[in-house]
Amino acid sequence: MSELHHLTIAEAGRLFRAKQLSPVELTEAYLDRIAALDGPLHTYLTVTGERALAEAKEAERELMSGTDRGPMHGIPYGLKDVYETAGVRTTCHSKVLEHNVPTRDATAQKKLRDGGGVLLGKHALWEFTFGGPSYDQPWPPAQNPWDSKRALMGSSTGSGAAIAAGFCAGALGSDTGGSIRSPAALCGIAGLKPTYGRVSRVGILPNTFSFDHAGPMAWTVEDCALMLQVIAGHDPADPASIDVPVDDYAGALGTSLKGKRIGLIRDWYEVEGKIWPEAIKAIDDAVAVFESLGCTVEEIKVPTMRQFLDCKIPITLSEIYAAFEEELKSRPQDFGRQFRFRIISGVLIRGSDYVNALRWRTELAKEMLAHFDRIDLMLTAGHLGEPPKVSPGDPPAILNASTPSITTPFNLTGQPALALCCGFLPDGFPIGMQIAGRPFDEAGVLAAGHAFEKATDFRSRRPTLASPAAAAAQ
Amino acid sequence: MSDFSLPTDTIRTIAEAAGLKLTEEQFADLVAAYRLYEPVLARLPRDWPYAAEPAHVFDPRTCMPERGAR
Repeated sequence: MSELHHLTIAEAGRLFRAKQLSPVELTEAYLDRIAALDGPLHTYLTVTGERALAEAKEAERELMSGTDRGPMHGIPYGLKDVYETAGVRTTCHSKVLEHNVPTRDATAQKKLRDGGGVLLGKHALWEFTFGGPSYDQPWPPAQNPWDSKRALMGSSTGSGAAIAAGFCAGALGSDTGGSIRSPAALCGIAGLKPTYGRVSRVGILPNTFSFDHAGPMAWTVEDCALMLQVIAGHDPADPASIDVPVDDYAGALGTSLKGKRIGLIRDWYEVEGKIWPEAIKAIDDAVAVFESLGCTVEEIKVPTMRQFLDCKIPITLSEIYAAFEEELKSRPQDFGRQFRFRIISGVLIRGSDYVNALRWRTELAKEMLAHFDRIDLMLTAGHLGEPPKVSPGDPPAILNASTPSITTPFNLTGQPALALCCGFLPDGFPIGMQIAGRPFDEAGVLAAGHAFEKATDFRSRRPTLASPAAAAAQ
Repeated sequence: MSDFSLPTDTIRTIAEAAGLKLTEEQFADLVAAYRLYEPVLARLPRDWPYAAEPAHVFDPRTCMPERGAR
């Protein structure tokens, strides 16, 4: 048996049902590890230890008596602290909500709870999913367990880091421009942004209503599939939720890729954006893996990342400014400087700019999705450039000032996009790639990612954590 | 100068009219950030057909009490 904190959700579930492991045992292992090692990494804002043990005991009792609530039953997980949790502080990593205790659960959290999941706690993030890394909030930013000198780009930072560090089996993140997939790529884990409308956002604090997605993060693609199975589905209380049947994601994982046609978006990371040379090779190697699995791969031409980002900015500035306008007027000093810097220009965006950007979004999405008349999946890099070194006192900066984001286009198109590990730099830092699919074809995207993970050995490498004392000495 | 190169005084007027009460440092950040966004706004396509709908849909059924209630 693997070390308990490195069990995948699928492995732990099998052991529970074979009565070879109890949810209490697994929960205690995670709580002990968090207490011992999370100090320098700051992945948790709140640890719900007593509650987790109570939920684990209940799951153990039910599983022993033959009650099976599904793939998350007894599984310890975390939530990005943007998901409302009844009776548990939900801060959005901001002084503005430092003492906020909701009275309801976000719909996705409610589904995990009803599914017998064990909530370990709430994860650090970029302030309100947009401002970070920030050092002027009540809690420091989460650090990447693979390399704390490289800034952990957001915004689901604590979730990505906690999974990589073995502090939880999975987590829910949110993704408005890449906030699940960027930290997933940089932490060497898997993270899925489902189709816009697939997972309810009710009870998740907003960034940009037009682009906000909720989704799973875990060590493996298979685990993302298991988590998605529990949280997916129509929610009439979410205006963006779309009533489409939920597929059998775990069942689809064994689907053959033979005959699948993949469109490679190479221009984004070789022409428009910069990427490590080793990452270019890693993606070329991934192409070879998919070809060996029976896929055909061809390069495709799509709108530029700059076009997608230019379209997104007026929409995001307008919507996020509206969401936080009252606090910006009454207590602007309580926001971190980074967050305030990035959103306050929303006061200057004209209504016609907002509407014209929304018109443009439709055209960009049509141009992108038109490729699906002759391909089944899209493949591209998971992250561009070297993560910056960020220090307290650095001046604020807007996101993607020099190079547009390689994750954002899929927020505008709304299609499902999966980030997963496809290799490592010579110094051991992970390299990520993205697989995107047709709207609501999460099953196809997950099947491709799972097949890739099974055909490679990148899931066997974990970061080595420094003890708190050693980290403090650095 | 494009339509989006707002003079600093104009930015101050708009911000004050919107109810923002910023310190000088916060106001300087607003101006600095907007200067970075100006080129984005200048690149935004505006020559759309009259009937080009924005990517927004309003479904009145979601406002019915039995559907919106949780």
